[in-house]
Amino acid sequence: MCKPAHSDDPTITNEERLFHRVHLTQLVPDDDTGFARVSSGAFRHKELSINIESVLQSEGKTASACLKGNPANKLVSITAGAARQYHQTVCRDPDPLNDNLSHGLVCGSKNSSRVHEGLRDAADWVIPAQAPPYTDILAEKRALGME
Amino acid sequence: MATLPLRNPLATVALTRSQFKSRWEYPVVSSAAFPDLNEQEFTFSAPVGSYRVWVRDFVASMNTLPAWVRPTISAFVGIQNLSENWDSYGGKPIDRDLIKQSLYTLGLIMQADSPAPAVVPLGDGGIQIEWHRKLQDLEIVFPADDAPQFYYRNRSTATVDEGSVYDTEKLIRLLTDLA
Repeated sequence: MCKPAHSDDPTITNEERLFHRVHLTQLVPDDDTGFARVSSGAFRHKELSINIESVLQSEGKTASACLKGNPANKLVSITAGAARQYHQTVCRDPDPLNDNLSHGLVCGSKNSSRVHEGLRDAADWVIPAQAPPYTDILAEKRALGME
Repeated sequence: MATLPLRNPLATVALTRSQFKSRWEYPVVSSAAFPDLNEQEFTFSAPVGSYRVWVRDFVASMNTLPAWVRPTISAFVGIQNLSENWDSYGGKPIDRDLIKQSLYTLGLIMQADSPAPAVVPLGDGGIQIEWHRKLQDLEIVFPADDAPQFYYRNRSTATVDEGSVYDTEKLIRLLTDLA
């Protein structure tokens, strides 16, 4: 659970986009469409690390900064409002030592399928901007020795 | 020697750490036949018989195994060597016992024509296996610190179901609908 200091921060508006990296191994095929989809397994951590878009922007950074040094990841977003809808708290957790001032947390139990499935359904693609063909993801996995 | 419970009379499987190659044999052969191979073994059993699965550097052709086996094993190989912090969020290495559990479960519920699942590592060292097809979602979760569960959703009818992974009859039924 989040520490008391990680209680919900009302200065983070419901419209705020929260970026979350998704590892290639957590992208799965939708056999009906042929496109990749994010597994709900990417949204199970009790303290889900995110980057707060407005803080990133205030630093002069773009969403792509979240993927720096993480080539085996893609980027998705949920809104703070969507997280709260599933009884999560959203807070700031800046990490200046790692030049990650926009770091934040989405805290709360995600064991319920309603929560992790809900968060997954609420996620939008950021990088790439749309769901990529799963064959592209599979090729990346194979190139990196993941499958 | 590791064994895999398949519902149909099948085989052994060989995996490698850095590259996936398979060898399917029936009846099962002893690993002693390959003394120079570095093997990693998993043990499984099933009412219908015993089959073996082991990881090793070996290449052979595939014969009559169901189509789902090879990609599934390949996916397990892909996640089994994920290192600490693999997801950049402190993800833990995948628990080998959970690999055994999930393979054992697959052996109990998969039919010859079942579609291959996606195998997804979880940050806590657990595993999630899942299918998304025919407007249905089926996920079987093996968390590191909780009992395994399944979750099912039919997106066309808005039907939702969930329960214990030990309800294998229900899982077989759901998988049949997905095939």
